[in-house]
Amino acid sequence: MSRYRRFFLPLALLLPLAGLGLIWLMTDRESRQGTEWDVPIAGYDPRDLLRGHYVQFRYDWPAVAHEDIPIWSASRKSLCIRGTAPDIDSVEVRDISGFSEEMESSCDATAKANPWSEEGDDGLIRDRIYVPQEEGRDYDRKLANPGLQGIVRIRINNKGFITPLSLSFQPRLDDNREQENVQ
Amino acid sequence: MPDRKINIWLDAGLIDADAAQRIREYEADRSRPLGLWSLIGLGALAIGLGIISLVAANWDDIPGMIRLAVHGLLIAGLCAAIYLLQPRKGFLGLYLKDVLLFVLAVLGLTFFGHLGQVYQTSSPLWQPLVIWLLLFSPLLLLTGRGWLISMLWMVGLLGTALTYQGWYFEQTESPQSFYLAMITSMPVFALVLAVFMRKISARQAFWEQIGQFALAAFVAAVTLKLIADSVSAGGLLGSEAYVSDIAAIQLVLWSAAALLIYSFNRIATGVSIGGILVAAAIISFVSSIAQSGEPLGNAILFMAFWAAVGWSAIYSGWRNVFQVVVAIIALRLIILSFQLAYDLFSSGLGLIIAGLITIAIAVMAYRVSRVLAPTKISTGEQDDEGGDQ
Repeated sequence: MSRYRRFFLPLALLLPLAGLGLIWLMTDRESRQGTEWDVPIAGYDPRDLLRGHYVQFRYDWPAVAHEDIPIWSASRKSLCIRGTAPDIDSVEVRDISGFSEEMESSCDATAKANPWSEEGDDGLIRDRIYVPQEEGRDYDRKLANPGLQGIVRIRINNKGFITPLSLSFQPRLDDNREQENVQ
Repeated sequence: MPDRKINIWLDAGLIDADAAQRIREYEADRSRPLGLWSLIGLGALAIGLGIISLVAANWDDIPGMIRLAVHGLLIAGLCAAIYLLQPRKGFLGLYLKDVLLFVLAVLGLTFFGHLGQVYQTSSPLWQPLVIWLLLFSPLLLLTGRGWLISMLWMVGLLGTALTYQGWYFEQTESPQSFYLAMITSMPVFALVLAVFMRKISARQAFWEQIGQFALAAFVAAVTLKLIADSVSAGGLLGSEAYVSDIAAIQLVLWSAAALLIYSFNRIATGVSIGGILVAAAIISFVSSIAQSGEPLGNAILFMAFWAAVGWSAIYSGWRNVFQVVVAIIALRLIILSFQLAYDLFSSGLGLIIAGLITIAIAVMAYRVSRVLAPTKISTGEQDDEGGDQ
């Protein structure tokens, strides 16, 4: 018993402590890796009071028609993002199968849907961002304002998974379209 | 212990005055201030609930790092408490330590969820479960004493195996038979470990419980498989060719396990457990090969397996297990009689026959369990399956 107490028990107690600490450290390091991008959002769904405090939205990837990312096979698609973070110049939809290292190196970032997230296979199309409860009303108003464009800052980690970081707003740039109409 | 009972026994001449006095003294020594303890417990519960409410109400306002740090500190504090309690005997050493161990393990499991929330990561459920199992198994198995810990560990093990199996099926088009046979044999491995450890460990009761939970999970899983085999060809895993491969590998694995268990424990329990394992392996293999929708054949396989469990119960004197076996076989017979009389139902004759058979089976089952059931006071080996006395 005394040998057990002196030797095995401290080891058995230290193992979970060390293991959990290590996992915390790794998760923290991983969360800092990757690149951050700004993506405009559309088709928002204001806070869903029943399911928690978050804004649900759809990504409005620049220069990609929405239909190019088919919902039913989104998990087999990846997005090749080009630009200088956080500004996206262009986005290209690609098949994950038949994907090579070479192709990936031509992208500044590659985004894939994380099948284990809340959005599942739809992760390239829609997502959610958690907002503090007190600021919910403020976000509600801004999202409903047609003069404001919501922009989500996302992080794409080394695995290609997307994490929304923050939500901001800027005046909508509808000037171009109006000019076209005038012409 | 109320004095009233002792007085009744004294009056009836079952015990003499000396014995009555000794019982009173013994019970007085053992008595605990229950009222005081329950008030203290109530107070502790109120404090705990209050803390949880305070934290939950302000969850958003507490920065994630602080929350995680507090979570980690709680875990470290519990580790320290368990270390200090280890040499203690009695109430503190036995019960409180187990409760703290349980809380520690649950806090460790929720830490993964907490990390995922703070860092917004997500992963398949089996991954944190496997890591939890690796990190906490040594501690739980080295220090656990009661059913709280043995049950938690078994639930963790089986939960990991089940979630991994589900994930594996999602990931792969052509599953590996050997892999699946290993995953589905987890209760058997736990059983072997329990029988072996029971021999060398000072905490026999704990390993006995692990063995009981493992055996119960195994019997339940085999039963489910036999039922699934009869419902759809291919059973739980779908009608694939690899089903019989898996059953063949299981046949080897389980027979080897039975042999190992018998070599560890050559008295009644070892023979009984080995018997159940071998019977399950053979019957499950036959069921997988046959893959038939024939009601009679499936019922015979099902009842053969449970008859083997019943034989083991008689052999080792597990009285209550035997009663359960009789009830289950009787139920299966009744279901069979309805299955076979199904096409006669329209005439009403089938219903009458099924009803008569049901009554006959019930009466017979009652007789069988009276005549064959092991007696309450088992001779020789004390009831090894403690939970089934």
